[in-house]
Amino acid sequence: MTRRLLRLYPGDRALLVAAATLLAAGWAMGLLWAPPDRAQGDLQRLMYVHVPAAWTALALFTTAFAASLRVLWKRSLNADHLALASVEVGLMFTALTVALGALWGRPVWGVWWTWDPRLTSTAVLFVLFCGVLAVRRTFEDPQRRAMVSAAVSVVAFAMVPIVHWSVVWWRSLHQGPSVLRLDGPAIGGSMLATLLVNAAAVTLLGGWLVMRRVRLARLEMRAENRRLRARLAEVPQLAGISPRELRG
Amino acid sequence: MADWAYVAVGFAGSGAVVGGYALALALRIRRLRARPGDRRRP
Repeated sequence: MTRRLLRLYPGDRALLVAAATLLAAGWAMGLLWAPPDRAQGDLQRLMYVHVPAAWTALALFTTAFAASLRVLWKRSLNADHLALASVEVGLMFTALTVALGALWGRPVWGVWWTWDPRLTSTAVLFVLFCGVLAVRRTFEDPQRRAMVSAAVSVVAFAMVPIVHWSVVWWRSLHQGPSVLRLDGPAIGGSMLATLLVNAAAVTLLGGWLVMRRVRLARLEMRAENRRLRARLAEVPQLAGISPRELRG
Repeated sequence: MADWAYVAVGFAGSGAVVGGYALALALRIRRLRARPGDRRRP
């Protein structure tokens, strides 16, 4: 049953095994090995799931941006599938980031949510990329769908640097960058190592999910083409025309 | 102790969300592979 459900290609399987192994190690390090924070105690362990989810989400929106530029330049449907997959998986990780942030914020800040620059910009980013998926649903023609959603993705990507720099540009309740700093990371060695292992694991997991979503997008397009071909065959004047020719 | 409850919910919830999404993808892929003819008509 599980084997049939997963039915993985060798590349998929290697990526999944690497991600699962790193994640198991990362979670063990985060829960058992890394020391508790001096100020926040064990609550700080939420960082090992919250931060990797946030980084992966931003990396996936950057991938969607690059794929969208390729769609606009080359009109490539393969790039469109990659953009769709990156946006969808990126949204899943963004939702996870916000939920984990709320879970962390409640005991530390005393609130589940506050209109802080980092939280607000992340919410806007989430809504914009939800818009990309919404726009996709309004077009039946794959080529037009790809072009319009690529244009919206490029616009939505403008929020990514704003989310990243929000804690630097504005006064924020959210802590500032603690790893990507010019003067070096501001967290201890064992905490940093744990964070980086978890970040690598979640990045690989994100990559694996994107590969699966791309595969699904291809299967959906084939099914769509089959349906269109079957409908064309019902009209004698149009029989023999391929869906691609029809879309012109 | 309450701190660990938040941590447990965070880790388990993350696993459930990502696992649920991966399962949903697997089911949708299987459904499309299982019906190559895709007889549904819009």
